[in-house]
Amino acid sequence: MLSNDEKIILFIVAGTLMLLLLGLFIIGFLFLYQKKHNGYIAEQRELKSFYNQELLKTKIEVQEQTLHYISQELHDNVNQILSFVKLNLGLTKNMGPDQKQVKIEESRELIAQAISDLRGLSQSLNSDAFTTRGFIASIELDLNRIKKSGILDTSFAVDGEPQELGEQRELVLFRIFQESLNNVLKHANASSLAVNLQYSAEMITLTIEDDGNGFLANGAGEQGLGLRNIKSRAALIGAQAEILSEPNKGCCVKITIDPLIEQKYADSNYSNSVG
Amino acid sequence: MFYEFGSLYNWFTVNHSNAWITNITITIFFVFYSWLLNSILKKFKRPTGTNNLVVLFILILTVVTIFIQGFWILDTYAILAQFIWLVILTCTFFYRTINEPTDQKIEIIKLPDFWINTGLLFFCLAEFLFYASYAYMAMRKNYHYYVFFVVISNIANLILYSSLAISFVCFRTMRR
Repeated sequence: MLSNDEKIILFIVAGTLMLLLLGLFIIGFLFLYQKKHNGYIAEQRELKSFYNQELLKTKIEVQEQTLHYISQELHDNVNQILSFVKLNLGLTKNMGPDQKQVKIEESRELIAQAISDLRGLSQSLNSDAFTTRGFIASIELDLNRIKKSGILDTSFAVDGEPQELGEQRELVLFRIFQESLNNVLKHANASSLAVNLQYSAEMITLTIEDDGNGFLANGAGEQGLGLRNIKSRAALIGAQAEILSEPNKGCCVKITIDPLIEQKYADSNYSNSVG
Repeated sequence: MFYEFGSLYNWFTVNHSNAWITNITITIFFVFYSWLLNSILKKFKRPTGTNNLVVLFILILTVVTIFIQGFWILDTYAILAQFIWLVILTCTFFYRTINEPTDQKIEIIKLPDFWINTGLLFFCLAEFLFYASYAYMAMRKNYHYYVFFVVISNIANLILYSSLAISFVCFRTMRR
């Protein structure tokens, strides 16, 4: 049988052990938190790195698109004009002075047109062309090119007061637009394309609608790489992509983004440009 | 060192007890570590506002020491209150470490402040119940209690000084 003193000592020993265990629990909790925190930081860094990679890819794709357009323009437009001028000038050998003058005048006008086209193309080659032009003007320019080529009848409308989204997010949004445009040109067999940009305080909505062949938009897993890219890119900037289509009823790509939510991976060197 | 040697060679014994010098030493221990922990807590982005409370606490302890228990016996109430306060400060440090917003990876084991706080936490927790029961057990003059105290006290000191040594090593590594 334990004496009263021994009971107290036993109580103190047990109590001290309990207190030390409490201390160990506190330290253990701290290490658990450290592990969780470091895991979170690693995940954030990975996401940021992924975002930066995607952004870089987007920039390269926008530049590639521009280069493709320039190559087409040089081949189909400037090259044709200059060949025509060459032909005109070659014909003047056997012409009288009045006819010669007419042909020379005609060639002069054609050369002026070629110079103007080349000037426009050189502006497109500028690496900061998107930043300089801005989001809305870049969309407008691309649509005008398509309209000018006569492939599609295009229309563009901007509703509401344009808001800043930040250069990086605008660039990704612009690339989504270009990707949708490519899809229409390659697969839709459409005759008209309507682009609508709607600004409100809570939401920015970009709608790209064509009257082409359409497809079964609900066919999960059957969507092409282009459509999957549109969705993943939209998710990257915190936007939602909706693709509505039915066979023979055209296709509508709708991108909605909340301008108030800052994209968390785009906060470093985040520069805003007026759209 | 002075206190430890003095206690071994009975330099401070007055009326068969050196409790008065223990009171002073523990109060100095408390003031030093309170100051140290407060300066550690000041490193956090948001201030904790514990400084004023410490001053108030020391004043209350002085009053308790002199008027309630007396200067010549071990002032266990004051010591317990000091230990509770130190435990609160260490727990505040751990809480703030968890809640400090940072986008950097944390390596707690490499933080000198962590080792200081850990050493103090275990030191105070290990000795707490001994001091809580001292007033009663000292009257009983129990040998087992004396042995128990020596063991606990040595373990607590070992933990504290080992932690402080590690914190110095971490501090030197950080400076490099």
